[in-house]
Amino acid sequence: MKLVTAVIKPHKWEDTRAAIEAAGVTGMTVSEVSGYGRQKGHTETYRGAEYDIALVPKIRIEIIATDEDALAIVEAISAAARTGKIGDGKVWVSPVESVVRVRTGDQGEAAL
Amino acid sequence: MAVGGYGRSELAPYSDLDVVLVSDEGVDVRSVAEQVWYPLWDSGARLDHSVRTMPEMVAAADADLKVALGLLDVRHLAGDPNLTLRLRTTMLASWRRTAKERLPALKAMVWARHEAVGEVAHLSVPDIKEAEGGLRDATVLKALVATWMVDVPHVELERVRLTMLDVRDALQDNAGRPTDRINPEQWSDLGHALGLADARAAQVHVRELGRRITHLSHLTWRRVDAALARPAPNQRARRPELTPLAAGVALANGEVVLDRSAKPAEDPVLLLRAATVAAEHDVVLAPATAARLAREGVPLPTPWPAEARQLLVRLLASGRGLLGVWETLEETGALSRALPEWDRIRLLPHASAIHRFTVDRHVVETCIEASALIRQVARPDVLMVSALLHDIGKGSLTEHSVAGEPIAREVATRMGFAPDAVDLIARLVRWHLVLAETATTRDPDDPSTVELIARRLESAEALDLLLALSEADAKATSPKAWSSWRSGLIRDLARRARATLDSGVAPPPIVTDDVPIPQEVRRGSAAITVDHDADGTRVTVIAPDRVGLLADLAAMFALQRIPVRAARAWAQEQYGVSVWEVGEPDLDPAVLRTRYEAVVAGRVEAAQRLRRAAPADALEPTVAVRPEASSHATVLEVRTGDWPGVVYLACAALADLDIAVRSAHVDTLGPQAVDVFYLQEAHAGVLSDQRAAEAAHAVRAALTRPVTQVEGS
Repeated sequence: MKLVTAVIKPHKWEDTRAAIEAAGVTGMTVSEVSGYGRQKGHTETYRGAEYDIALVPKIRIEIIATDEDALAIVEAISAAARTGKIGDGKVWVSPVESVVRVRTGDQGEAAL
Repeated sequence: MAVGGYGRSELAPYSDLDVVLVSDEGVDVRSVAEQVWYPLWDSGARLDHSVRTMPEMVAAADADLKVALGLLDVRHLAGDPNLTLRLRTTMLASWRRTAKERLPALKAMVWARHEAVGEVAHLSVPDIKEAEGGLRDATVLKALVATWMVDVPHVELERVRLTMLDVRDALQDNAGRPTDRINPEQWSDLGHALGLADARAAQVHVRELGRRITHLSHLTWRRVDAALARPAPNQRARRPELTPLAAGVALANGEVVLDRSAKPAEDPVLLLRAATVAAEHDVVLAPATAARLAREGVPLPTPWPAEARQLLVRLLASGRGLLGVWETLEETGALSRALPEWDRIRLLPHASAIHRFTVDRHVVETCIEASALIRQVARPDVLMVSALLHDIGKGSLTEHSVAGEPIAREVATRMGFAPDAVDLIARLVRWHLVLAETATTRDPDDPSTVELIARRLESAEALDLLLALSEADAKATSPKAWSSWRSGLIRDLARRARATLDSGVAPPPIVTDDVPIPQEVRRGSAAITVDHDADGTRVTVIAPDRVGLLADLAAMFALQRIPVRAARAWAQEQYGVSVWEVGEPDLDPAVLRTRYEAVVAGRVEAAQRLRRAAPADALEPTVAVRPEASSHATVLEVRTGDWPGVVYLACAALADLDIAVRSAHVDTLGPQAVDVFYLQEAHAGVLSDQRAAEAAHAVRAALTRPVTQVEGS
């Protein structure tokens, strides 16, 4: 099993969700996060007030999937979230040792 | 004895029977208890019982506020009636005697319950017993009256309380169990049981009852606070003391009332004046006063006079004080008279679960949030009225910002706003969601996104207003809606859009008249003339121009506490001409001249006296050099609270730097003064960047209430 994590631009969220659902995924965890990578942040001054925009708002998506599905999900996300400009985000896959469904106690792929 | 709801003879279909078996000390009641409890248990009745002696009862009431409250309603059921009578008398007497000590604890308990449960008028699943505005609040009000410290409108309270009890009966009948919470699917049945048209009517009915109890509760608690703060009765004057606050309006016993000079039948602005003064002082607008004004007052003419518009903006921008006053205006029907459109959104539930409040309360909360943001905008009046009207289109099938635009346009026109302000208000209502929606759904790097915003708003002024409105709207919706994540996206979009809008926006034009220069002025003295018109008084001053002329004239007005509503100044030949609109009906030019000469001669020390006048709790002033400066002058814009001396302090700070004010545009918009100064070096020429920054710094320092004086540096 794999954990697919993606950090994308907020305005690409709706498109990305549609693509992930089209890939057959029914559940995911989504959070509003801030950060920076090569896009970097900067500080802006407007009429005396300084706005720190060093941290850029992003959407973070986490999905646990079988090894085969994970590849398709990565494909779907990177296609849907791409604008071709700096700051489009990243998708990464990490191995998952075990999963338990809290309600039933199901383990492993049965819990997905 | 019966206590609680049973004691008040107000059992709901599934209520418990609260029964106490009370005896004098030393009486063995075991066998009596068995004879009473067993048949009741056998009958299947839900019994909440206890056995106590008289001293135990008194001790329990002393130790526990909830017990004390329950025992105020004690009722005789069986046995020796004298015992019940004795307990009742003891309980009431003790409640009255200890009220001053116990009420603060009761208030804390009530507040904690409201905090934990929420409000009947706004909860998605209202609890009509425990929530704010529920039956328990009504019972607490009766307990407050029992202290003899305060009074409530009894008829009103009883009517509302009994109607709410009917709702509970119907609710429990329908549910078939002891519940006080109304689930969304129950509204329809409840409406049917109460003989109302549909689920929506049932919601409005219950939420309205909740709001009335809340209103009575707020009112009574404020009276309790006032009573607790008052000195002992023997030190008090027998007649209530009236402290005058504004024309026809005074403060008595912590409530705003009318004084003898008030003429409700002749003064259409009286209601707004009373409401604004109450909200700004964060005190109660006496409901009887509001009701009388709603009943007897003359309606506002169409369009509204300038004073009414200014008062409305001040009322809306008064902060937390707005909530209670708005409630009173609504409850007494005064609001519907001034703003009939309000009924469209009154008690209207929100479709989305993210909202904490019904639409009308959300609007009030939006105004309260917006009042903290007025320094960010040049038109606080437009911001506040847009906040009031932004959701006025809700409740129809059309998208609410589309439906709201024509209504907002109509209301703003009736309020007497100039056409450009009406357009701005209508535009803000129409597009009040566009920043928040676009920021989360469109690519900010795409030029077409920024273009879209720029096309909708057309000016940097509208954009600044919309950013403030978006922030206020979101914060009023829920704290989550203005998280740093979300606000970051919205601010970033606004910043990008502003970059395309800033160029080409002209600062307000200075209107100059070509006035004849009187001979006396040519000989070197000043000419002061006074004209009266419908809206107030206009003072025109012509004098040989010099650095500091405007400062001296502003001091002349401020030292006499004459409010300056608007002013414009310009240079004509080598003379300085200024026209001042002031809110003082009778002015003698000779007196003004004497004052002016005293200021010029340095016989009065204006600086110290006027600096002290700055209110302590005001928002910080905003002072900015407008980037769109004209080629011959540097433009400085000042936004600050409206208090006497603002113009003087700004002008004096500039004069100290030897900077000449070539022309000026001074305006008061509700609680905010917006002053624009066109500056030149004394010997002509625009200010260098450094001098402009110095000027802005000096004016900001002059208008900020001094904490410590720093000499030199």
